[in-house]
Amino acid sequence: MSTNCRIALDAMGGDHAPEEIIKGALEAAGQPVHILLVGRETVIREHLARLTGSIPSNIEIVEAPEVVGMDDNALAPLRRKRNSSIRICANLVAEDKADVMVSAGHTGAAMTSAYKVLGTIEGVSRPALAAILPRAEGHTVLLDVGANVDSKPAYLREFAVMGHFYAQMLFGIAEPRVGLLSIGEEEGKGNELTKETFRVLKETGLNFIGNAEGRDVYNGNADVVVCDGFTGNVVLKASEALADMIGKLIREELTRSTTRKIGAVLAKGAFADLKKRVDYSEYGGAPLLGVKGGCIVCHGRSNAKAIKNAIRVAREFAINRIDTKIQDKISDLHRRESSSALAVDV
Amino acid sequence: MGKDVAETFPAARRVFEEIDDALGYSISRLCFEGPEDQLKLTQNTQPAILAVSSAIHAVLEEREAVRRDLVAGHSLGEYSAIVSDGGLEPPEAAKIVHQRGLFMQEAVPVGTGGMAALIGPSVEDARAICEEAAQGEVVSVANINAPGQIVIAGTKAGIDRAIAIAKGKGVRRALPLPVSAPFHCALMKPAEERLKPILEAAPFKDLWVSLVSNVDASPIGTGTALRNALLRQVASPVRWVEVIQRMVSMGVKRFVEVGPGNVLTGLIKRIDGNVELINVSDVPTIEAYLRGVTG
Repeated sequence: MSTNCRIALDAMGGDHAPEEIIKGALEAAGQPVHILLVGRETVIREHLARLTGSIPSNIEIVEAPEVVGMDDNALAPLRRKRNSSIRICANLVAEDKADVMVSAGHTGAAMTSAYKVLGTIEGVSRPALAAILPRAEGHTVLLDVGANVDSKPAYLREFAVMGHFYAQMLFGIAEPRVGLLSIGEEEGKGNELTKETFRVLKETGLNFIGNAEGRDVYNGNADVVVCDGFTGNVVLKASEALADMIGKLIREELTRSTTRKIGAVLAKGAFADLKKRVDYSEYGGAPLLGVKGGCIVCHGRSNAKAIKNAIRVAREFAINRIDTKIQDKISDLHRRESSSALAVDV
Repeated sequence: MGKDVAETFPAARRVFEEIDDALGYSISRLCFEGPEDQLKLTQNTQPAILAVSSAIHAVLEEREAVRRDLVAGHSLGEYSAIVSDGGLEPPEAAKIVHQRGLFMQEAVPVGTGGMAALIGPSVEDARAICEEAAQGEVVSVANINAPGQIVIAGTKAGIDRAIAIAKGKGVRRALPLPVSAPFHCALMKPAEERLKPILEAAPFKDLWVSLVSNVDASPIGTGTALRNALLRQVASPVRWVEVIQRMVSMGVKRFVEVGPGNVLTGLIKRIDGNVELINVSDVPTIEAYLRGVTG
């Protein structure tokens, strides 16, 4: 891996594909990054011809005749649609023709392709999808938000390690505070999974702050919150819906009378800023942590700006070599375990 | 400093003017004409250096000669590095570093802190010297600039002791530095505290090419990460050797130093003899560089 990062970008995935994806790629092309636009070449060329005079030299087209649709199964790229754009993106990373893949298409299909085609980093059992959630000051990394439905303490420990290094890069801090999502602060609170995980996390050498309650996802007590994918997905979706609902209520209340409407007009800047602070497109995409190379999963609604940001995130991710750091830390944990097991045996 | 650049290139002149406006006083006049004793005050030195670096960079940018894959800067230079990738506008950065300079100066009463250069020892040896010299006070490694080139910082008395200990241990050279405050050590904690709200309020943008940070020698790019790295570097050592080694390990083969002087070029040469080094610091070097890039 050099600084000249190569990104395999799924041109066909997402609600606004391929137009917005290609626009995003063009916006990113001014930067030191090599973009492989993966999809139907004729379609991509048509769009490029319309959007730009000449194709930038750091954009390359890679043919992928099939597309995974939203009604397809998550396993489609592995079975019926092995020539789909998502699958080809994964192939390119697996063959070291790209460093990271980026897709705004079928989330399940992207994660399955990355997991099965790229494989996991040595020592990692399962990848985890990490979301960045806004809070009043700063952000919180929540993982896993849906790569796995069921989990074990060993997986959650790996998630904690992955979240630690991701937060280091994202926040520029040395020892991110890692919390374990549970239903009470004390060590004994929670279910079997969290109680056992609590015990395991204490021994990792990470900055483990103990259990985090649901509110700690948003109040700034933790930089990283670890949970199983089922719980994380529920938290994420409930949060998104809550934010949407509050937005709707505010709009309703602000348009109820003329005086309020005037107030709303005056406060327009504040609302725009608020929107920017909670806007998914500012973060670009969520990484699937723990796979070899890397995979950035974007929101299906991604517009050109979100794609451009996702390419930025993908580049930063690849350059940082988070995978190596995760691998080293996990093998270190395993080494310590086997040596302590040995001590017990003797 | 920077006068010839401003007179020759309108793009550079504009940067000086914007920074003068933002600061509310003419840092450009201090830069070009002095007086030297005013320019030496760190609250002026910091924005002055930043202004010259940003002005030179603006010239390169205007001629589209800024192709790069990573950025880094030494201490204050991290701000210029961030400016160079659009993470901060020059006037914003100048306002921050003016405050940074003030806070660093005010963190310790004048004359009670000091810094010294140790030439020869390994980082471990330098740390041992600091520990021995501390005697309950702050004395620690402040810059790891090149192999065998270490700067330490701490209380005046502690630094004097460290110099004596270093000489006793056969360190080739140990000499006090003419600085106004002990930068990059725990004595700077009050400055860090005061800088925090200023960095938090500043309009950082995410970087495209990643900054390899002084404090962790690790590439970062988000606005949040930049704020935290800039905050933490105030009272932490500058790990310059690791920064450069990290960049080389990531595939960097050519370094272009942009800004007044050529200190960093000299340091990088000692860290890695195999990389190409270019210094762009005044009108002749700017012109030579532009000729080389644009043909």
